[in-house]
Amino acid sequence: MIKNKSAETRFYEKLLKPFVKKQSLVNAFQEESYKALQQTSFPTLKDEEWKYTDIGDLAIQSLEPAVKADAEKIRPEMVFPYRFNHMKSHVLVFINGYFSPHFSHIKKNSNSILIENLSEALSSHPEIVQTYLGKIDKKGNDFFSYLNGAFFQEGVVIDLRDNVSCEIPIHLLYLTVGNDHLRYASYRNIVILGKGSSATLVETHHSLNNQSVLTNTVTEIVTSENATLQHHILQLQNENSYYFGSTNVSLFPESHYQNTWISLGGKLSRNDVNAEMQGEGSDCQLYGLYAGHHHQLMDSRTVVTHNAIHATSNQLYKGILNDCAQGNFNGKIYVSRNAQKTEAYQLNRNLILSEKARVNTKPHLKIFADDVKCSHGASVGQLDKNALFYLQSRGVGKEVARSMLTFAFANDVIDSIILGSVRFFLYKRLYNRFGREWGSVDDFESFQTIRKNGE
Amino acid sequence: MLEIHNLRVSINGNRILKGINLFINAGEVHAIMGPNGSGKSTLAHILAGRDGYVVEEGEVLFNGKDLFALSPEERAWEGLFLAFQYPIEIPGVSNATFLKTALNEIRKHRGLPELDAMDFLTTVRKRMKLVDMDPSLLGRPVNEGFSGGEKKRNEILQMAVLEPRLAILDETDSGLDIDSLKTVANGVNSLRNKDNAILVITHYQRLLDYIVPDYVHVLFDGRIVESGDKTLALDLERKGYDWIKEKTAES
Amino acid sequence: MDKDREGIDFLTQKEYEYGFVTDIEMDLAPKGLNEEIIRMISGKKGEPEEVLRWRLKAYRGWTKMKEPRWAFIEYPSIDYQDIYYYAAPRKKKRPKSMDEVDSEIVATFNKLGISLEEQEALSGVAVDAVMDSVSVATTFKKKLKELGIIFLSISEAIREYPDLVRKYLGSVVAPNDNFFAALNSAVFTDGTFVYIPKGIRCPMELSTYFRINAAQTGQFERTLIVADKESYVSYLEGCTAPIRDENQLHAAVVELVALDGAEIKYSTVQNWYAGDKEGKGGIYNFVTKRGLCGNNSKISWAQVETGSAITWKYPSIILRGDNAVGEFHSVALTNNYQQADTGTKMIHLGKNTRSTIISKGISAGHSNNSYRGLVKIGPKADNAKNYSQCDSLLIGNKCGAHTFPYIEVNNPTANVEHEATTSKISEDQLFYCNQRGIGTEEAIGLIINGYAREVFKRLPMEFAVEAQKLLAVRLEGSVG
Repeated sequence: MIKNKSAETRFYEKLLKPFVKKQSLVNAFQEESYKALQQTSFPTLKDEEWKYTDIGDLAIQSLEPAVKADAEKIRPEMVFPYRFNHMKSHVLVFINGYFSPHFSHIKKNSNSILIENLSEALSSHPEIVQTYLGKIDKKGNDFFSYLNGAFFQEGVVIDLRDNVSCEIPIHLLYLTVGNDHLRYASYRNIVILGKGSSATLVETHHSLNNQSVLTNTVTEIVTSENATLQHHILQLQNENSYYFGSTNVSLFPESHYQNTWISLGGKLSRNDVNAEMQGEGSDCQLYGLYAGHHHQLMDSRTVVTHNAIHATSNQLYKGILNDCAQGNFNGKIYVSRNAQKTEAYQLNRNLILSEKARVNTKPHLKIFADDVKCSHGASVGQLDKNALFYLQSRGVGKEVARSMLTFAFANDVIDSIILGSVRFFLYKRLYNRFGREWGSVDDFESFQTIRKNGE
Repeated sequence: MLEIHNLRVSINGNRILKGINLFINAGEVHAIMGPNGSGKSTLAHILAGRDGYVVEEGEVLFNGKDLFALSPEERAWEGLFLAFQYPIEIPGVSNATFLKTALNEIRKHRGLPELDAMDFLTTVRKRMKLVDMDPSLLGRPVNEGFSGGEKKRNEILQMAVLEPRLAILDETDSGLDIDSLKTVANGVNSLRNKDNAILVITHYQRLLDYIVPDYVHVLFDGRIVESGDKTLALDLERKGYDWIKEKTAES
Repeated sequence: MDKDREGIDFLTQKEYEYGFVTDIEMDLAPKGLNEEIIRMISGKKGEPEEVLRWRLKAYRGWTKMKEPRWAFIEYPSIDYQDIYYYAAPRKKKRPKSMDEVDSEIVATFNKLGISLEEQEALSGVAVDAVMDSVSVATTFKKKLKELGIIFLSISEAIREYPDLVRKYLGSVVAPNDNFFAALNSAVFTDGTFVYIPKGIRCPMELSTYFRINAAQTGQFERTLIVADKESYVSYLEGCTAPIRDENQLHAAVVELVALDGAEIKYSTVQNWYAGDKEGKGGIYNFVTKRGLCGNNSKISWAQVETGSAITWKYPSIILRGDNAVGEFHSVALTNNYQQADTGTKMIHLGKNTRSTIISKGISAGHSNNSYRGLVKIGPKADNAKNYSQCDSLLIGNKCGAHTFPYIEVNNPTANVEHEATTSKISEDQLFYCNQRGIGTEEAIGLIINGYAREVFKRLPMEFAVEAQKLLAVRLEGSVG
């Protein structure tokens, strides 16, 4: 609260200089965002939306623009491990807020599919950026949203015409290379799916060294009638990083949007998903897994706003907190007066594995229509002692049993990722996170197949 | 194989078992019968190593080892298996993963190579036929959404795969219709051999029509008050547990 | 359907039957709030100097505080200088026996169905009647005294048992706990004090009946219940007010202290005037209720909230002792333009503490009904358990039902579970009942009572019956 204006400006003043020269097209938007930013105070625990997320240690630091030179030192073999090597995909690699064309690989597309980095799209398809920039993200009064609006560096523009399907997934790979100062890397993405189109988008965040970088991403998405977007975001940065990401989706009639958020990395990660059910019969599925250890703080926020009839939404967020980690869930379902026949569900479950780990959860509902089916639930607990005993009685050692059950707890969120390669990639990291290895990834895949084929 | 000497056990200060003596050799099938609350399930649980019980006196040797010095998983590695009365549901863990992990842990302990997914599936599928289990249950989470009969079959499937030296069947017949009962019993019988032993815990005699015991013990009020051969079970069925109560009161 | 609606309209328009005004001579202090007024109130009560100092301290704290606005309620700002802080039925002394109680007052309470005559109170409920913040009659005093139970107005208690009151007053809700508690601490005029001695089970329900009568007054009563070790008490609280166009402020504080092994049951049927169909008038109800549990003790709050234009109320429990148990059972109904933001806080500090929250919200008309609750498990509260269930029922599509749980867990052995659902009374259900010969009113009553049964079960028998009727009356007419 007492963090006065000067603290806030100090926080971002060093970002001002490199952005003086702006592209005229987005100039107005950036300036507007900057004005709003100046009028927004730095978030503290007194703000309801930041009640459990203390970012006081950031307020006293000063962000420095990421250096392109750092990005240019990166060699291909450093990037390679972070690609999904068995999966054909369009890959766009970003390092410290800069696009790296030579690591990226966008397969030839027909004219009906546009996948370009933002700077290029600004000159090739300015009308798309103009139409959508800042139009879907309507959070308002959000410090990091304004910060992004004022200082975003790069991003991606994806535009699918009506009735086309992007056959292979689009992979946005964000890498950071920090140095002594707290660097700032920011992205602004626009994803527009035309009527009846479909795509799969995977975003992964990694660190190439152990230094601290603050990543700030705002993604704006439109799913037109009958469009389908599968969207997976993996936050796997080092434990000195800060991550503030927000995904904003506007859903038109009968369209589907699915988001899976996986957070294992970061000193502090905060992920926002805002879905507006604008069209009749639209459907939104949100999944989240935050598995924290050491002193990590993981904050997941959702706002699902039902503005149309017959729309359905479902949220499943799971937290696993070990050591001194803290997990926060702040979910909202808002059903407006005219959104009759809404079905909206929200479930947040948490496992606390150690004495000093903490969980705060706020599953909130605001409902103004009567003919709706809404429910929410939250739980905080431990591994089921009966299940543990059952496993032990079958010869599974305690440590392995704990790890198995922890994995099982996370499994339905991971299952929501439709891409096998991504799941595979994740399993390996989860093994590391949840303790001893007790099976091989291949088992998972083959058992997965049994389950799916019922054979 | 199993030696129970003067076992006295309590829960929250209530004495449940009041001096049990029981000796089981390889190749034998024993049945413990008794009315509700006589301590049957307590005995099963304590042998498997469930916590919450206080052993006040006595000792149990399994293959010559002090059972109480072993953790539940170590007992399983030694070859002790408990078929649960109420099998536990574990959402999110597939039956296949569960069983493969258990099997390989036990194999490791026995100095056998671990099975890979293919070999494992071959083994399991064979065993599934034994208990007439739908193969799709393998891919489903452990016991979740299983019917009562499916859960019990799943217990016997696990027994078949893990090949224990001593299997304790805790009220395995409860909640089963006669067809399922036969299937389960056939499964158990096909696993009987001269090297292993089975301890059947049951309230009713009907399971013992299909799994014929060599010895029958009656547990009442924490003590074994009567032991005999399979005819004892028939007597019990005919005369009811009151007969035992009266007999005990007399002596 | 139209016919049903007529029936329904008829019912919604049912008058608030407690809306009459009693014509009695009143003692009124000038409007407004300042130290002078507080000195005057304290003087009128013949309080010791230290209570006055306590009030003044609360007042000074209050002047520096801001009115809380985080709740999901909207109301124009309150002019705290435009309220009478002291209004009392005029009399010379406190009556020594029932015969001395003003016959108008007795008649008022009789009209409310609260008989102050002892022989009629033989139903076994001891009553303390508070009109405009002043206790006018306490029944059954003698009988309770034999058991060592103290049950009297708090002003009397301050005079007669100063040490006991000093020890516990403000010990659960500190004078500057929040804006409204501070206001109450500064100006409370009366209320009830209960003390149950060690090992005593209070043999009857104790009950206080609160009545706002005078216009433009605020009611600021204060209740303090202390259950000494291993004792038990069940306490009931009811309230009504006349129909008036203006909004009136009610800011009460209730403190419960359950020492080791004690149990307190606290039941409320709140039926303050809720304003008319257009939302005009009604009580602003800003209440701080909190209980403190020692080892092995138990506190249960049961509330049926049907009145008030605005309700801001979170009966809470601090489970400080090991093995303490806290319960909160609530039915909150809002109709027309009522707004309620109510719930509870369960603060687990001791080991093996358990709490249960059952909240049933019913929203009709243009109202907004919010559940707001906090479950907090402290780092030392090993094996703490909480179960919360917060359901909402919507009637019509112009109202709102909201759920705002907060769960903070700082201990790995905790088990916390929260569930919430939203449902409605559907036309199909009503039709089905109708078709089987059950009238619409009755059907609604049936459905509502089924919905809120878990809470009604917690209320003492007579209260439960009253509460069910109350809900039916407040609701019928809103389905259509």
